[in-house]
Amino acid sequence: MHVALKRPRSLARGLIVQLAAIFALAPAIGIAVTLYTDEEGFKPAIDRTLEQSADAIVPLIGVDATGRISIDEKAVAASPILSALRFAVYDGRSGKPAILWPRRSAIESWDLNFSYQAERMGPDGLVRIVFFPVTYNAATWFGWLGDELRDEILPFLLALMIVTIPLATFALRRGLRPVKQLAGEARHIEPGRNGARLSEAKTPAELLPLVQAVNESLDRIDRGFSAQRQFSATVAHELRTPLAVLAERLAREGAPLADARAEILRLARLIDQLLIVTELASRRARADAVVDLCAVAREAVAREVPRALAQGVKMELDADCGHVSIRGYAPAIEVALRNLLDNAVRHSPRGGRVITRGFADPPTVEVCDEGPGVPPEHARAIFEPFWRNPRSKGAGVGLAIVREMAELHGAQVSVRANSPHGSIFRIEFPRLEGNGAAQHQSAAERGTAGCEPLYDI
Amino acid sequence: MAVAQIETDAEHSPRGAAERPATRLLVVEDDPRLSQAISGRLREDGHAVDCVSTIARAAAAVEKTRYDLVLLDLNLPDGDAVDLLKRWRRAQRSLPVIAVTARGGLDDKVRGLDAGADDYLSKPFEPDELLARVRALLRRPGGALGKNLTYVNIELDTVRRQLRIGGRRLNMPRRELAILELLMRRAETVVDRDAVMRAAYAPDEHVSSNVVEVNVSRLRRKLMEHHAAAEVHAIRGVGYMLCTSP
Repeated sequence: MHVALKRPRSLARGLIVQLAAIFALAPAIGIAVTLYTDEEGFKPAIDRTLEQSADAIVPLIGVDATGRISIDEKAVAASPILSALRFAVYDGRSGKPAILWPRRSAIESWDLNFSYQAERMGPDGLVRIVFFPVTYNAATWFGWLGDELRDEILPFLLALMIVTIPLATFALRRGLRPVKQLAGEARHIEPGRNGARLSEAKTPAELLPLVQAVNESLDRIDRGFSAQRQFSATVAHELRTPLAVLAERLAREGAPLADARAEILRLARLIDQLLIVTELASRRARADAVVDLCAVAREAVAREVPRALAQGVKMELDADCGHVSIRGYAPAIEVALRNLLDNAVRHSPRGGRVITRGFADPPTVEVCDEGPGVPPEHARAIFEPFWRNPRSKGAGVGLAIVREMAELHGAQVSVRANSPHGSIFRIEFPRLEGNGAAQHQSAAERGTAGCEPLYDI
Repeated sequence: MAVAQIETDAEHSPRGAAERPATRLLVVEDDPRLSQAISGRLREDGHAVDCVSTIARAAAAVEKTRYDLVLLDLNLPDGDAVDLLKRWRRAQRSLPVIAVTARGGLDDKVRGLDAGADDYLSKPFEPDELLARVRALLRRPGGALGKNLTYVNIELDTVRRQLRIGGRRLNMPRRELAILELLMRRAETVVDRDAVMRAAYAPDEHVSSNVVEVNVSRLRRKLMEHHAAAEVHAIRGVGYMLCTSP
């Protein structure tokens, strides 16, 4: 298949074309403006035409034997300029009009005040040629314009063009030289070679915003790249550990396979969580559906109950708020809540309670446990991917998912101490626009007294 | 998580395994090793299993044979299984389908359920979870195992309304029995309070607000008195769940 490559638009060619257009239009516009606004400017030009016409008339004048003056009428009629004029030729000796053009005109009706007189030497002494105001036709007009262009404007314009166009092209080339240099620099920027940037020092002011914007975007990409690299390194490490354990277990003969299976399941769960965290971080998920937060919380609790009961932990949902609408992506919220619940159960003592609370205004979910609680110095770190409490068995991805989900929803995540012990994880979502008055008490009023917020992330 | 000690109908049926209603399952899976492993587990659990590896064959198999349940991998070599699922639903087949998703993505689950899957499993899954979900679907009213329900040592003949715990006949009031039936059909999952209410009372019955709690606590006491190996847990704000006693 033939692929027609569209050539990029050339700045230099565009400039030349535009300059040429200006040169072509300028005299025409100038002339038109002069004609319509400045009759005085036009007059000498007309006079010059009339003088030239007088010059043209003189050779056509003849004198016969009786001294009568005549004109070659055929020649006059043949000339487009002369035939359009009204003129009289006066005999210099008698001072009387000898020729009238057009013939048989009534000279008495001609207004001498609007005439133009030229004196010439005829074949038989002085003649006076008097022109009268005429209606100029297109021929006279263009004739004059042509003369004007040829004699006055064109030479000047040509000279100007010869100087301007190469100068403009040269200036453009020179002006674009920094772009060429920047392109050269950009060619050497590669992933991994962090810190390489387009130089801003020699960049002209007009290009600076573009160069700065490109450099800033490179900064962001670099940050993302190194975060990604660190993330993959950690992932590789995290995946290798259970595999090593697994290989070791399976190598031992007669080893309980249940252990190996538990490791495999841990691995599978970690992979699932990693896929979810990347999906959320890539922001491909759209958090724009109207979601009932209470329904999602109920579903999350219902799904986590069997695991909790198996560990002797009781679960409760305290969300008689009925229906709390937020804008979001339900699967992500459910995964995040289940991670909070799973954490709470794992840190709960046998016989402990995990209470999930929902509030309508602002739309909020809280997961409260009776475990050891989060030490204040770890309150921020726990949300980092792969951060892990040395005493805990989790892979450290669960809370990172909670944070990604919150960022996707513009929600606030915080953790504070539960009383007498344990922790309360709180996710506060933005209110749905137009979700008027709160149907229920706000979270603040619902009595979390004595629980000072530890940390907001 | 507690390993479910659920037994199939047949193994507890007084008439013996030979006469148990045969359940026929279709496994649609393109990875031969996984297909073999799954079908092996399902056969051990007493189901007859057919395996196919493409959408075209799955469609043909469902045309020809009446299956009690289909395990459908959503990522197949010859197209999108979600389309096949939608076709079945448009044709109004009440065929129970469990969607198996490999990508672990959040959207797959939603896509599968939206297309009409009754349940979903993400790979890799625990074999016990697979069996539990298959049984739960088969235990639905109208499902292949939907008539005689068995959970540990509790047996319920839903047609004759006869209850046995540990083999001994037990009479139970109508409403409590209805609640037990619902909890048994969805054993080991949380059944929300409204569903329990609907199972026990007609929509227009005017009852006080705590009737569900009263009935459930009576049911719970009776199960305990008769040494049932399962108990009813109340999860405040969510609902109830039947599971094995610790």
